[in-house]
Amino acid sequence: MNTAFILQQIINGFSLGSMYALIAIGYTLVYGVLRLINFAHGDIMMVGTFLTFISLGILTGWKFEHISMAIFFTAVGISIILTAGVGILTHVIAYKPLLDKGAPKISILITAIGISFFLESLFNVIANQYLGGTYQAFYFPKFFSHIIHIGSLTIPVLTIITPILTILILLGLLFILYKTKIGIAIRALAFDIYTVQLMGANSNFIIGFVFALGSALAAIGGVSFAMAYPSIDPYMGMLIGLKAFAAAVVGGIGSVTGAVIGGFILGFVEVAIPGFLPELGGWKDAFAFILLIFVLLFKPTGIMGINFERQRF
Amino acid sequence: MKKKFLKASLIIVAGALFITGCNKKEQKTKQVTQKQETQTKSTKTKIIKIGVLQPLTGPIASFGQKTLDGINLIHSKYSKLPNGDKIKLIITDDQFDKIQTVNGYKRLVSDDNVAAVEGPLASSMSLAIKRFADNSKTPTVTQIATNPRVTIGTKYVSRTCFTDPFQGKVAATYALEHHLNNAVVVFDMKQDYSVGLAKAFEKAYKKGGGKLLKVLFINTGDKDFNAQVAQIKRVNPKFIYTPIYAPEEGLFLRQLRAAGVKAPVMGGDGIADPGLLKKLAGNAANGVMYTDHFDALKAPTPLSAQFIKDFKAKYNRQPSAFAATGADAYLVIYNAAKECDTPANKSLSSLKQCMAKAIRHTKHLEAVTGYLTINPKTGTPINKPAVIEKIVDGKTKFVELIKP
Repeated sequence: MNTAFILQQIINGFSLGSMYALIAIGYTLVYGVLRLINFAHGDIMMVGTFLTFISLGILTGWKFEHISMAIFFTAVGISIILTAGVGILTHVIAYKPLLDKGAPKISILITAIGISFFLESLFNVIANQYLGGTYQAFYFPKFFSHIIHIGSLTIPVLTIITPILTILILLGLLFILYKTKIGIAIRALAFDIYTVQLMGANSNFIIGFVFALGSALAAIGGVSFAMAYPSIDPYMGMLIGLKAFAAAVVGGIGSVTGAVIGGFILGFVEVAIPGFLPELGGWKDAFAFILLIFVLLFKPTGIMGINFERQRF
Repeated sequence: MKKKFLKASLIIVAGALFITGCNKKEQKTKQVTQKQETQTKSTKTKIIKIGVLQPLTGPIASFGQKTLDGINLIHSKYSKLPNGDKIKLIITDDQFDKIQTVNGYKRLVSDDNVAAVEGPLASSMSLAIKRFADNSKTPTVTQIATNPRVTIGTKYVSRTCFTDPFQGKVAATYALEHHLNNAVVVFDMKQDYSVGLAKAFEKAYKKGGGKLLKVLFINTGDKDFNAQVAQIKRVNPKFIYTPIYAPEEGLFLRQLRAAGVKAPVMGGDGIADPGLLKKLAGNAANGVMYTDHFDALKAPTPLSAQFIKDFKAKYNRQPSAFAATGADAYLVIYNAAKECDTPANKSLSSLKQCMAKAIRHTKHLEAVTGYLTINPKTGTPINKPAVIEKIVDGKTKFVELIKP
């Protein structure tokens, strides 16, 4: 147990945690605005990953050889935009009609689960019909799998990029929420949707923007996952989504900073359990959820617990 | 308000009357047509329906698709019984999901009125439908579920492949013969197939004098195996046995080789998908071995030589073991139907009863993977050999044929 080993685990934890964080932000944003747990969010992440894969395939003529940075980022860009669109679509088609009719929250929750199954099955059909199988290998520029050696530390480039990206995104998000007009609108909407509508703000646009934002971040999270574990399938969003949801709850659902902190904590636990107690390696998923229960026992509203009567995000 | 309510209720009552009225008429016409049908049926040829329940989507969809290719091909050759009756396949997807499997099975039995079911492919799924096969007395032949419990304690579920104790023994014998006398086992805790096969290997390996250094487990759907790899690296075994499924094996191999572990890796028929392994593991797939049911380059019967020829002509590639075993189970069912489709077994239930018995008493039937003789007590073929295959430069290579 030397310092290098511990440092290595911390780096790995940061890397895994930031992926959870990116997805957890989406849960928290939608929950903050609509008080809705969007269970389809994990599958939105899967959609983002598959759309990146498909765009990459089209751009490289399905050869996936020598992917340049330009091509890769174009594909990711296309995917982010399309995934944001899918996010808005799920809201417009599935949630909005129910919300407009004043359906109870539980009905919308069930709808979200339905959307989740729909997206999984849809991409399963697409993968089997057009991509040649449920499981696909994910390709990306060689640069990301490049490994830097510092002393006895081995650090893949990706494990540095993802946490930095996550922190930047968090800062950007906080800027949007607190310094821009749409951010003020989002926070106002989270307070009282009816008053915001009475003030003449276009609540549909704002909610759509929130869904787009969450979905775009999920796409980024999904791509980082696919680069770390280069095998993608239509069911990948299920467990990852569930863990990201746990991260959002641990951090205090409704708080963007909390979601990021929760994501990091979950990442650390998942890396530390197999790292320090290798015999328990197979149980790491169980530990992630034990942590959830443990935190909620002491802080029922999560670490950055939000009192929805007084503050937002 | 009251008026509206009255109106609405009136409409509902009227509607209900109308619907029931229609139903009565329909029922009458139905009865008439049914009578006519039964009259014409006795003179015309019959259609016997056989359900095919395979994972056509989901994690192991490629296994199911390959199996279906084999079933479709053999069905096109053997779709007519000698007495002129026809066999119709009803294909259902089990999605490698227990709930979908049970639902699909129930639908085949009670809605489609099938005489027999081929499938499910995986052991967990076959175990899930075992009770329903018994309750509905439907003969069920799984082509590749290797867990021994699948056919024990039932008269209706049989298989056309070897079982895990044999498959595990084959792997253990191979390892020991090559002086790989200490090993690590990595199995999937969530799959009956994997748990059973791991135990079978451990038993045979210890008995043969091998030393088990560690038994590790993973979960279906895992993507990060660094914890398991780190432990393997620490104990540095000569041999690694991985009775898991191909999606997990692909990433496991990649991470194992990236960590610098060079020990030979062997799996069961669950990783017998070289295409997927290569896709997921890249170069790390090279050198991995697995036990399988059939090698297309070693045709054991004239029928299999013909099957391989037809398969190449139709699909332009070699048949996989999945296609061959799929065809085997179909042939067993076809053989039973041939025996039982007599005027004495006019009703579906007596046909099913007879077929269940006939399947269990299959004797020296010429099939694709060899001559099949099923033990009536265990529902498992006797003397079924296994082949060991190895991936070399992205291609499968035949290593050894091992007979029980």
